[in-house]
Amino acid sequence: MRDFTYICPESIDEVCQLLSEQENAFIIAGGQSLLPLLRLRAADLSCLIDINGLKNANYITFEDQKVKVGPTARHAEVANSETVQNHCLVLSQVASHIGDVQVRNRGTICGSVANADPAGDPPILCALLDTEIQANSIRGETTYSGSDFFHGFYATDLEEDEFVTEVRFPEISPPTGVGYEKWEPSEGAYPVATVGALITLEAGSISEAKIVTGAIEPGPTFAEEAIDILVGQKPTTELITQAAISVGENSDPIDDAEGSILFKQELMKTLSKRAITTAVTSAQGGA
Amino acid sequence: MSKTQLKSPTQTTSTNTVVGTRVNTKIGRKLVTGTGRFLDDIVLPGMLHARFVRSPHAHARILNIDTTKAMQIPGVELVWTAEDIDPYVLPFSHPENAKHLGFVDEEVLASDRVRYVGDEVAVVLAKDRNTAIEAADAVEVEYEKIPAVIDAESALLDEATIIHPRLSADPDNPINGNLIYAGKTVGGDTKTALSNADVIVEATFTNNKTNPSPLEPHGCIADWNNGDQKLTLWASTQVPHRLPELISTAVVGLNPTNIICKISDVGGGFGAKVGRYSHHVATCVLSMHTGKPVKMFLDRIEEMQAGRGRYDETMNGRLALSKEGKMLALDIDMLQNTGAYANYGAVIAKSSALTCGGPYLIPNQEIRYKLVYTNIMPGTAVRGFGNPQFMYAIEQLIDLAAEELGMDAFDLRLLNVPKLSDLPLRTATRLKLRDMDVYGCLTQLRERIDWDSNRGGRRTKDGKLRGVGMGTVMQRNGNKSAKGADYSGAIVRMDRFGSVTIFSGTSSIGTGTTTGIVQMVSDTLGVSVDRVNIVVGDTDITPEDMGVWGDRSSVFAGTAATMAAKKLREKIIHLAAHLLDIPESNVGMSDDKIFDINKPKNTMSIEDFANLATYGDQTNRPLEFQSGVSLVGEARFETQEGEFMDEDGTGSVSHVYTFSSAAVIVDVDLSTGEIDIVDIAIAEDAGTIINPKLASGQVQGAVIQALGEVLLEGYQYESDGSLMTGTLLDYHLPTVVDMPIVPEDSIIHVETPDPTTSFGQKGLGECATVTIFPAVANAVADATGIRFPTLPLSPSRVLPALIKAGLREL
Amino acid sequence: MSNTNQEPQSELVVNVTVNGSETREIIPARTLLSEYVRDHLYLTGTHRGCETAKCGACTVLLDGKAVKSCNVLAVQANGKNVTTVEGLDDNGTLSPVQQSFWDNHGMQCGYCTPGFVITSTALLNENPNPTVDEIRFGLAGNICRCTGYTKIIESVQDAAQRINKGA
Ligand SMILES: Cc1cc2nc3c(=O)[nH]c(=O)nc-3n(C[C@H](O)[C@H](O)[C@H](O)COP(=O)(O)OP(=O)(O)OC[C@H]3O[C@@H](n4cnc5c(N)ncnc54)[C@H](O)[C@@H]3O)c2cc1C
Repeated sequence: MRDFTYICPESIDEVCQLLSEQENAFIIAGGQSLLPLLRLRAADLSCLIDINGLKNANYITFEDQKVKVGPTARHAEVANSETVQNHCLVLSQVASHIGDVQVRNRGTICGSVANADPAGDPPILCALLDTEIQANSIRGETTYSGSDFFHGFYATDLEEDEFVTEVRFPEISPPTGVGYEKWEPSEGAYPVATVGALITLEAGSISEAKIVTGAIEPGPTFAEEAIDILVGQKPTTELITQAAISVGENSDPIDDAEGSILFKQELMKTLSKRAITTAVTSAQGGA
Repeated sequence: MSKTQLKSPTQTTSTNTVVGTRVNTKIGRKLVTGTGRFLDDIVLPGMLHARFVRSPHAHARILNIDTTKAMQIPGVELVWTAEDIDPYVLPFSHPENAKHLGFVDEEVLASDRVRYVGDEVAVVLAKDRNTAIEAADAVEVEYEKIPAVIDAESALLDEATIIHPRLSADPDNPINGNLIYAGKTVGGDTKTALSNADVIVEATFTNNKTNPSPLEPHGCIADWNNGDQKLTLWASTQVPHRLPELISTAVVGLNPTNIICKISDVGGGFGAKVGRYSHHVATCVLSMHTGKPVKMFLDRIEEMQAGRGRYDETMNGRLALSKEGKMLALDIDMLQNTGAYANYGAVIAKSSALTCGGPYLIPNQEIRYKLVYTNIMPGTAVRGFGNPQFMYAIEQLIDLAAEELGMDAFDLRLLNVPKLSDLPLRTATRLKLRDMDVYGCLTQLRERIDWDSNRGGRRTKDGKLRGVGMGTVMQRNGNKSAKGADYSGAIVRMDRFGSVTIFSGTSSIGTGTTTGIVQMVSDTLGVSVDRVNIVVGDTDITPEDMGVWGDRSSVFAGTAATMAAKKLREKIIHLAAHLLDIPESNVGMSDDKIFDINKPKNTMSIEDFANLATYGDQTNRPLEFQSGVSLVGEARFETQEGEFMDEDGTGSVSHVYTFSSAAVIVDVDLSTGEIDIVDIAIAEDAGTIINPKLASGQVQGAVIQALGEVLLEGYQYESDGSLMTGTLLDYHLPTVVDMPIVPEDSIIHVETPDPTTSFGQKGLGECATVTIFPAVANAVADATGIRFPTLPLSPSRVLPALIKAGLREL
Repeated sequence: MSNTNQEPQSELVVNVTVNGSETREIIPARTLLSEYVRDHLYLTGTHRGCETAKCGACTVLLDGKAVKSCNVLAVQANGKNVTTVEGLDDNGTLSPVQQSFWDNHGMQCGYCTPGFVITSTALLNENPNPTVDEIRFGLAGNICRCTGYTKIIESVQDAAQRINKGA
């Protein structure tokens, strides 16, 4: 690892100040994505701003119908939080399957969102649930919306001098339901394919549908054709299957060591069917 | 003659009290407390850290190397390129290649071209690891890329770029283009047999290139002492006594006897630590040059690029049978993707071609093999030593033949294996089969996996397709031909407190061998295991040994230690008879006591004995011991069974063979292509089981290692030779969640003692690594009807195949 | 932390309580926690097996939580408690987890063992009666190449029993 300078400020203002002043400075939160890169000398930086010393930053609260996740809340804390389980179960479920125990004990939701790894789980959920992503800089506070924050391969709307200070997830309850599926080649590995589905029912029909795929493409991608298939229809198995096939067929996966385009498209069909089915079931008030 | 006079040559007849029991591993306490001493834990005064600059290209000419920037980094001692190191080193290869075949093709640092991603280009020496890494990154190498070739078939085409042009042009060298070597192993006459057969099945299978990935990376510390002109090498190696010899062939003016090899605790080997690597040679030279200790401890990225692993081989095979199901001929063309350097390619090809007929009595066998240079990581010895590749193909051919004949695949196998009463016999490749219950293993395997109700494939309640399959292997225990001799030495010593120390030249890499050796010595001397310690490896104190590989260590080092203990026992009995005033034939030794077998009250503790014998009043001892007693036994066990390989590739090279078989039940998920292992059974005849706990641990580990290779792992290169699976984030090693539980009761040990080893033991560590390959493939075929020509059977392969077969479900 | 309102530093003083003892060193900022315990404190039971936070051989407890010490900076442990494998036994008496790994042969070469022992210790602290699936899920961040895992699972089950019996 190359040399760098380090500082561990206690307030958001200090972080903002440092971000604006320091050349080539990076935030470190959980370090679970950043440190491997530094060790592989795949990232070059001069200064690390550690946000783990921030006061009152490690929180998970429920206010204004939203689950608010602070910048140092770890995946494990989010997974085990009763607040999250009560108001946004899917977030708890997703957080509990990120990487492995040790990774979850360090990694943060805010860090994942800022990092925008194509294979990351939280970005998919943020796009699907249109979470509010709050960022701060010396210029003040900005709130981004999760559905158009991500722009492929580690790219987001975040400005260089900004950092993520909170992510707000909406409460999910019937008649809205969410399903999330991912496939990892081995446990704890980064997923090869992820998909989230959100369904709202009205009088037994689908009034709102969202499907977001991830890991197969550079960033969260809405499956528009499948959404069109679902909206306004009764959620029958045939319809769900038809939509799931559409997700796979209209996806545009990257061909890499994890598999061919065909494989990823097919896998996406299977995962989509499961995710949509779960979303429908939970929209109906089922488990 | 004492009661425990060993049979041919060493078997004890006294009742075993520790052999056969579940003794805890001797090294366990230190491992669970983190107080083991692995290579990277060793720090010597003034030690420098070395690191290679490795090629990012698969095939390129080196135009220029600029070390200026690297040299300017504070703490950098030196940066060397091939030009700097060349006066001190010689090109090298695996000795078998060098001696018989002549293709000496490796350089410590590439002089003019690099041949795979990870090839060593320069070496940096610095005050600490981080500085060395930084400096290695700062070395600027200018390359001119040359077209790379990554698969063996393309490498043989006329238009393929020649990877070792100088060797290819050398008329004294068999290398021709990228063809390193073509050879064959011939027993009988396959041509005639093929033409007379009723049924011939033919198929082609290719295995994946894998890395056994011992969790501790490779590493060593070289410490040259300019005063006594000796070099001490601490190494994470399986072969402490061979490594000095291997290194000396590559370092100018360094004799094997001037190298003392000391081993640390070794964090796994699996074959990948039997060889000599560039890092061994470079650290030795740099230490000799600087006069300081030099450490090189590779990281995982280097391991993935250059740590070496299993060869990927393509088998085009034919199995010929009579209509009654008698196997008549086995005929295989094997193409080995040898990689950038030959290394173990030839020995592995020859050795596995020799044994691949397995337990089947196939009278005519011809295996032709070609080794081919390509621009990928060279291979090396890996658990199974070529057998997984062959058995993966052959056991599938047998299933195909059963289908063709309309026979049950298990029945077909039973028809072609020897019964205990048929032994001893020689196979077509002249393997000596003796003292093994192949038939017994197979019938128990069949019952344990409930073959007859599972075979034929069916749907499970949750909609998966279920099937059962099996595989076998005849695994070598040692290999005389590979090394030129096959032996182990041992010294067993009792001190004046009655404690026993075994000195053995083997290496402890986690296989449990050292604990097994302790148990054998315990029983031979009638002392508890706590009283017995074992020192392994260090070449300045332990007797010569070929090392731990090829399922040989319990057989060779175990027998040698027992023989040595036996000699010590004879001395003790001679002395005790005098002290107890009874005839030697009446002296008993057990439970840490020495006693009169007729009058058990006439006894003394082993401590009292040792004290009296070596420290007490001299006049109490027999006359010949009065001038000093050395309670030491020493022995060497060299195989008289193993033979050299003949020109035709045949000969019984191994001391003994272990028969092993495996069966698995799989469920195939039609919506993802995932394969679940539902049940596993192993039946093998490894002779007397010295320690059931440690033995089952070996089998369980072998099963999972193989399942990782069969289901998950695999090197992938871009067409230009770039490595796509260069970290553990994209090369997937199995985790505890991915893998099935393999309970001990799924492992059946059929114990036919080997009469030539000290307790009847044979090797067992490698076997299940081999048998799982075909067992899974055959089970998947039973479930789905699909044969996969390539590995791994990952969903990325299985799901598209299910679609093609019309089986895919959403 | 005493770094606030200061300039970023390339060398820092850290105070870390390791296995109950306070340690204080001046270290470069880039020092990993694994380097700190191994190279500065000579606690070499914490092993390095990969560069990508995958293998888990370097797992330690940081304020009681299992973390991969190769993926945490030493400065991030400033003011915190670290337990390495060397801190588990009680004056030479093995902890129940250590003893169970030994008795059940939950190890072979031993390179991954400290990591497994630490992760298992944390697992049982949080869940004293884990099911087999919970044990598996909890150990997914540690790789063992030798044992095939079955005996590791058995070791953890046995350790749970010993702890619950107060052994
Ligand atoms: C073995 C392993 C497996 C993993 N598997 C998964 C998986 O299955 N799914 C998954 O989603 N993730 C996975 N991860 C990644 C993990 O979730 C990380 O925690 C996450 O990606 C980044 O969070 P972090 O807090 O660790 O960020 P860091 O590593 O600290 O930072 C990552 C990047 O984000 C920036 N950053 C961090 N926090 C902020 C902030 N608040 N504002 C602005 N920029 C910030 C940093 O500057 C850096 O560039 C895995 C990691 C490992 C090591």
